[in-house]
Amino acid sequence: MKSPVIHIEGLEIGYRDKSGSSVQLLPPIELALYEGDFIALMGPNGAGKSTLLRTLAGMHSPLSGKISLKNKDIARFDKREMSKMIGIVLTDRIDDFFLTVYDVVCMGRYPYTGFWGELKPNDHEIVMHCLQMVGMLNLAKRTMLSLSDGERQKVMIAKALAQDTPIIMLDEPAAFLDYPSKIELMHLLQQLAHEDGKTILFSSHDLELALSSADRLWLLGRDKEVQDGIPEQLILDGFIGDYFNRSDLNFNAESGKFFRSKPAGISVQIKGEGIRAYWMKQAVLRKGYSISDSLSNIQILISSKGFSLLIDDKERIFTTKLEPILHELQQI
Amino acid sequence: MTLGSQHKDKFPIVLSTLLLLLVLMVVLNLLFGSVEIPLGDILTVIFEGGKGVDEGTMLIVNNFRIPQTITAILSGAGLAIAGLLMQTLFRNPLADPSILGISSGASLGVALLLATSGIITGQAFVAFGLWSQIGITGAAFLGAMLVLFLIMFLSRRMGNIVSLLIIGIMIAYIAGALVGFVKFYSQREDVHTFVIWGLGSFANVSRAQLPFFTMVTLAALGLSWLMVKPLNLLLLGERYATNLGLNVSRNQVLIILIAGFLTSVVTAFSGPIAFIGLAVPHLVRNFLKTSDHRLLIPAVMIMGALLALFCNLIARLPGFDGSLPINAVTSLIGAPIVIWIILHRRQIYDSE
Repeated sequence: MKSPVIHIEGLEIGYRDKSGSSVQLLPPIELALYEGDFIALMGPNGAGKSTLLRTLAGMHSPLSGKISLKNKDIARFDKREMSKMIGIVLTDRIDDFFLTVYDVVCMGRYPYTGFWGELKPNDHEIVMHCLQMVGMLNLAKRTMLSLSDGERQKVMIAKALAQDTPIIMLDEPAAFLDYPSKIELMHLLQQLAHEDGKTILFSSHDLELALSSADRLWLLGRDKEVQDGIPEQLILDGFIGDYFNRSDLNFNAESGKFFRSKPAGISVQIKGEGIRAYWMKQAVLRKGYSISDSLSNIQILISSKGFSLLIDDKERIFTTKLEPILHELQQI
Repeated sequence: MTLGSQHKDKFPIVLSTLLLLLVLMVVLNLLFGSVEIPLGDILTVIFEGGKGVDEGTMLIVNNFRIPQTITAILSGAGLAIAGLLMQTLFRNPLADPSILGISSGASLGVALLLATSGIITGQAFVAFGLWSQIGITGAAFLGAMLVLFLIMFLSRRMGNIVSLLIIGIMIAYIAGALVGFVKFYSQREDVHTFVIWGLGSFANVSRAQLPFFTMVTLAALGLSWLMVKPLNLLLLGERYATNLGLNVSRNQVLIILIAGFLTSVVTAFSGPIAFIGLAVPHLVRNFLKTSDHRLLIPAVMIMGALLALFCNLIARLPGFDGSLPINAVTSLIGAPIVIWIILHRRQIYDSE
């Protein structure tokens, strides 16, 4: 068996306040990350995602426990060694007026430079290569301010690549991106993990995104054990629902989505198969009704001609579109 | 070749142009004054020890024109570098050498000196003649360093640099208020002395003080040069800089110390001088289109010296009786420069 890139043993994370007493966010953590892992750190706000990430990156001290990077205790790394072990990507904006894309990626080479930070020709080749990997080579001369959020995120990933670290950690990398950029970013990270052997750990509260792209999830919940597993298993075991559910939200394991729960608690039975039945279900769930498998007095029949709504076995409406059905449901 | 690589080819041209202008400005500063001295005489005094030049002329060139020119060069370079360091440290384009309350500390030092000597001796401070100038310089320096150490002490107790900025501004207000009290209870002549000091002048450094002032300022300027790599890394923000191996808090302290010391020394000798520290870094960044401190530091030094010499020249334009207060001149020239840069930047930004 391969030895882990990051090995976490009995780690307790949290804060110490001035009086010396500590606030522990999670029960002790035992986890391991291997080469080529692409892992999402998931959990509701305040669960300790950022604290765990910062602790693993050596920017925050643990309350107790041990973190080993490539079999070496993190406490025994000096700053420069750390900078060659973990590259980070944050949501911090770079607002300098004249810094170009190229400049920022060059900074990634600083741990390898001398006192004056002068880059050698070899470093410049690496910078160009990293820009190419994230597809930003043609924008190398642009200033950071002129970029979109997605482009900026890619530049910071190129910076982390230029750092040439076995591990890359990203804090909420998809937070400010539009949907296509999110997908593109996840694809890029996946590729870096699977093809270039980087170990990638990113935090996110975007459940659907993480479910559809990460190899494994680390599921965090305040004062709950950290769950480690592949996304689908965690859904089947009910952990996602358990860790994320709030009184007004429910996780639907069938669709992998959250829905607002209606206090009335009307449940609808949907009879039918295929893509039209699927989207009818989505629409009903979105409106806050629950779907029941057993017999219900409210039924929606899906036929090849259209949709019909039955209440107590009496047809209330028949249409070819979805919306009238929803409208009719609301009248109940 | 790293930061701003595509502009680096332009750098030698810009730098040599600036140096050429600096030489020209030095000559003009030596040439113009209340007494007309031909260029030939000035060159003779400087390069040949003044053979065949009358004693009065030699005295003016040696004891007034040369010290004033050198003081202007060092003060301008010092303030401009202090401004650059503060702007990078706080990642704030409006930061300048006075932002941490250091020059206010200098003002308070001078005000307290004038008031206490007035209370103790019952005489106006100016009555002490030559010593009064040295006393004022010393008091300003002590006041400034006191604030600097207070800032350093507080910065160790504080997690983030923004709260330090706010505390610096508050210290400036407190010092300003105390100066108000002191002025209220001071003698009329002392208040006048304080006002004159507050207007700033490059003519305060005597020939005897000049070597000390030069050495101390050059040493601090040299130290600032050693900070290029930390300064560049700080452009990305504290967290990225930490991840790239920088000991952020130690380097922040060093940067504050260098900038604070430069501000203290220059303010002690030349009085509070506004806008050079704010305007020059912007001006240089706009010319060079880069944020690389390896290019910025030398260029900012020269541009700072250049602007100070230019203001000094304006202040002594023939036609004015004596010389205009330098602080007023730097503000009159510096503020429009900043406005121009902001407007110019908006054009760049809007066109994208």
